[in-house]
Amino acid sequence: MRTTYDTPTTHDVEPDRPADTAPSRGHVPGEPAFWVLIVGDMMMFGWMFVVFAGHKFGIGTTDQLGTFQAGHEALNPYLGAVNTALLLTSSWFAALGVRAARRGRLDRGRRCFSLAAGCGAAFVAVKAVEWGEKIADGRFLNTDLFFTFYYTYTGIHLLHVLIGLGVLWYVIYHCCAGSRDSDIAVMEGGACFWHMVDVFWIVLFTLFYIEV
Amino acid sequence: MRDGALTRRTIDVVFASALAIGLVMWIISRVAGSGEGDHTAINAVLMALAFTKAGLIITYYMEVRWAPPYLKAICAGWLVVTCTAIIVASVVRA
Repeated sequence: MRTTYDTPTTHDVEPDRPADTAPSRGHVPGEPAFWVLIVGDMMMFGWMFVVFAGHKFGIGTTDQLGTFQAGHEALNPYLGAVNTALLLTSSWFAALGVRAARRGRLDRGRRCFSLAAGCGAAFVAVKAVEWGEKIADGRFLNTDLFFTFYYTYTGIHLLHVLIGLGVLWYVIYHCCAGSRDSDIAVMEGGACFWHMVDVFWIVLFTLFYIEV
Repeated sequence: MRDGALTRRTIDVVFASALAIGLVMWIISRVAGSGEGDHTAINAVLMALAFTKAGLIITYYMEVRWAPPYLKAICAGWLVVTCTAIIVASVVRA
């Protein structure tokens, strides 16, 4: 049964409306199709993380331990930290955007989602700088096993960031124009996908950049 | 907190908490991880903190806290199993 929302007027003068506009317990945020995608991605990335950890810590063979240590030291943790802060901040904005939209403050919601997308675009730019650094250093996809993992994993994550930016764009330009229940669901689902992208980066950053 | 209500306070507290955890992780990796020797315990702590941060975002920002039990179980299971598998891999080295 779809959870419906009140659709108050857009001029919200009270900072916190009563929670009659909030979904009830047992609510699946967004369209169920989003969660099929999210859970599927969770399974895929979870497996990727475990496979990388197995190679990094030498499960089965220690031949590549030195390669992984050298690769880890070649990465720029400061750029990784900047990207971590950018995605976390964008998640913050996306959560604020969902909250605003539920309260009928669609202009505010549009601004929050725009800021979230802006942080996401900045992430892409920093990632491009980082990859440029590595390529300039002569480290390519086929340089060694570490960098095969690095480019593959961060590349798949970057693809999700780009898809997420597309979803945020759709939310900003289409959903924030109205206040139908279906648009709220798309906003929720889009925000959940974006938060998932942030979650995956948190683990990637830890595995590649800061674990010793 | 009202059921299912993603309040402003919740959003801000989760953001601040995730930032704080990230800062702690950074300090641990820079300070405790800089020397020679076995870093297994440090890596386990870093991974646990990372998945704690991920758990905050899943629980509150993705609103799984207010989701049906099956969705909570899937997300919690993913967090626990993946984190445990990575930590076990770091402990059971070749």
